[in-house]
Amino acid sequence: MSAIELELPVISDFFDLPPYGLPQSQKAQMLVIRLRQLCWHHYERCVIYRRLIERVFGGEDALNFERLEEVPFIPVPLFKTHALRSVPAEAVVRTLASSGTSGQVLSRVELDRETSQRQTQVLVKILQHFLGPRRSPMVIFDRKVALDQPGPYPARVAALLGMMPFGRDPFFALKEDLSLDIEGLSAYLARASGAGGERVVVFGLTAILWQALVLTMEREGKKLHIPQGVLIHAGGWKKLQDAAVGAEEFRQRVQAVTGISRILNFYGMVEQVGSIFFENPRHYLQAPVYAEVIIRDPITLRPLPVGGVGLVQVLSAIPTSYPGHSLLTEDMGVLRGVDDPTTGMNGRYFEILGRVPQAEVRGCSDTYPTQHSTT
Amino acid sequence: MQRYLPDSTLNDVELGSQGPRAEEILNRQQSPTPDASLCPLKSPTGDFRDPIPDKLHMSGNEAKPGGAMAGLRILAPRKSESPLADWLASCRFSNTHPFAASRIQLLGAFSQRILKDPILRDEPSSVALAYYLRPANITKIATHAQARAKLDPSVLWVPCGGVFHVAPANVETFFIYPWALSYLCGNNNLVRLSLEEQPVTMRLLECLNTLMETEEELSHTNRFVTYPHDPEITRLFSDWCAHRIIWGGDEVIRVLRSIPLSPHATERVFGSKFSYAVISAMSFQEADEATRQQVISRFFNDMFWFNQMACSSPHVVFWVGTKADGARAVAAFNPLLGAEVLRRGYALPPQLSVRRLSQAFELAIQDDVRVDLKHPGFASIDVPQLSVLRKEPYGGGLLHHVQIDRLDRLLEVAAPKDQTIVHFGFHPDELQSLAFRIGSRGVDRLVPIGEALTFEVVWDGQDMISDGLRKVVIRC
Repeated sequence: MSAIELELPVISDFFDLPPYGLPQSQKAQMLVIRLRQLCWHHYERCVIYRRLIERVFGGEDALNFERLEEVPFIPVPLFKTHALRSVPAEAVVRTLASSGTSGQVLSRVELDRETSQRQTQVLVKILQHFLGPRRSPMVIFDRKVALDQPGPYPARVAALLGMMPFGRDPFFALKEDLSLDIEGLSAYLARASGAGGERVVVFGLTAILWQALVLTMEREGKKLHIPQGVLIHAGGWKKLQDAAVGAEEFRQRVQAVTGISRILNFYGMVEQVGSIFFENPRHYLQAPVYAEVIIRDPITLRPLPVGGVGLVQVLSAIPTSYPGHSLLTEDMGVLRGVDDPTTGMNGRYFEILGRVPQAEVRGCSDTYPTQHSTT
Repeated sequence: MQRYLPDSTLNDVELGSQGPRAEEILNRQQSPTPDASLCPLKSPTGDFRDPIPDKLHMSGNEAKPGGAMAGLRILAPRKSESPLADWLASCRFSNTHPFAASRIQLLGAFSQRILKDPILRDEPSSVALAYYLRPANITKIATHAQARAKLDPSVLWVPCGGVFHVAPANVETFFIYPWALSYLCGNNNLVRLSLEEQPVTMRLLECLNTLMETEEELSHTNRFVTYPHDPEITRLFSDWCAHRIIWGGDEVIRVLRSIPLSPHATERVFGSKFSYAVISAMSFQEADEATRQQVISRFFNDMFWFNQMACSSPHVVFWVGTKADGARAVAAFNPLLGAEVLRRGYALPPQLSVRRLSQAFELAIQDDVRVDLKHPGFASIDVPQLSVLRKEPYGGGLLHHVQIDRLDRLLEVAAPKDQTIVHFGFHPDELQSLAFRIGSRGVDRLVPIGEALTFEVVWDGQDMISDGLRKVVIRC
């Protein structure tokens, strides 16, 4: 790789490509070039990234990879302990933080204008694939004040902000106390569908939709009528898994209380902007052309073929302000297939099986845990 | 996940003050204490209990319902004929003969039970335990001790009496070893186990319980209990015992040491430890293939049993030799160890993989080291010089390699927390000389590669048989 390639502009219309149009082989060829650019870009601008390339991956040679599987990765938890940035502090326009339970250390990533814009551009492409170009009335399962808090934006708010441009006249369905505003919502839906049965987009985090929509409506014995709606949800399934609620049951019960049959889940993380993996018609998560997924054996770290369960690595063509273009996550997943003609969507598709349990630190020190310990 | 009670009452314990009497503590009515309201594990009925799996809720073994000892469970024997307070009163002293043949036999019977247990017999650390408890080995230990006792005929060895053990939780089989030695010495034992549910521990208790059904003496003289961190209970047991043994991290020991013992009691504590390997780079290089393979196989046991989280698990290999020899040896060692990981089908939990990777990357950010992720099951960290080495027991498959030109460079890093050195390729004189020169600075054991986790009577520098006995001087 030479400086000349670095100077090249982004492969002319890479971010204008349809998200699921390219067959895997072509996609990989283009993405690998972009990722080489990104690796060199961060290597020359981020001291910590440079150290990692030199000390973990054996130096510059590691940046001249030919295959996506050879792209050096960094573990997601590093964003909790280090400020990784490849642009001057002044260039940062937005800081995102992971959502976490109180007391947890949060991941932080910093976006410059370019990265932020590219993220929006990619999100537009992906959402338009599912929703078409027209903007619809949008119901957001959160409180309006969620948007008012000072930055850094938690992941939940970042997701909202990303989603809001695709709707119009948004309605925030949760009251101040996080309970469902059923009256307000019913009135909003009546207004929206009154004008000739317009499609409504509903968005929220999985756990919130479960709590505030499904369980609330079931408890109250009420039903909403959103026949043409599309419900988009993202975020952890842990609470649902604890209640032994699977994806299929979630969809059924959402449909039962709302009438919505089109329910789309997506997987993404705050540490990697641009990696938005939407559910395909078979309910697997589909990698768009701007992002990729690799499943690695937890013991050997070798990439696994279709069907193998392992740690999820995600790649993204987006981030230039921080080295988040290749991350090893703490999630377990399994690759399900590539270029599926039955869905008409190209690229890899996969499934997320959940977060690995919190690593137990079991030294000799857990005989008599003190106040702070949990084992 | 289990949570422990906040230790809100610890600060109220005044050193040296007269504690409440046993019956008061054992029988006191439970008041709605702050502990109870803070307990995150209240059962749906609001019942305040520590999270013991159902199978441990053994009838007849719970303290009075609603009593402040509601958190305490007797795990073995299954049926205790008397309340714990009575047991404490009756078992404070012992005049059993140390090394009694009947006790050696019982440990042997226990060993047999372990080997017959359908789960334990396939579990390597339990098999090792059973092997340790077999009569031949225990007799050897006893004979050795008796020979020492005879050296001074004017000293008679008697049991020290009641021994209170606070067992470690990280190595499931481990609570048995110190208990067995103390039992062999003729003592009565009260063993406090962690609340954590651990399958191997449960099975071992099951074996003990079955044995206790027919062996009254065993059942009379031992109590295996668990309870949440309640300083009042610990204080009571500490006041009862003649010898207290605490296994734990340094923090735990600091907390528990503030709970006073009877003025006549003794104590042995086992704090956080750090262990490593030393290998002669030249010897490893020149060894034939079979020897090398043996070294690797044994090192695998040392490192990966208990996921590199036991006190004796090595975290560093010091390669003694020239820089070039060291580099060549590491280059040969790592792939062989990786192959061994695959050959053994070692599957460490994925969370440890995740943690290991993060720690390896953190180290690479902090220090000028070289990380190698190519090997299955472990991350190799090449440390360019001794001064860069962090002696932290990360565990979970993080292996540091450091080249040193002479064995005695270890003097620069030896510290009180150093426990086991496993070695390969050195003359006994070199090891003697090293231990002598390190002196009181640290290092408790220098043993051949493969023996890191082999329990022995002398542990962390202390003789546990001697600890379990009182020496009575008799001159006529």
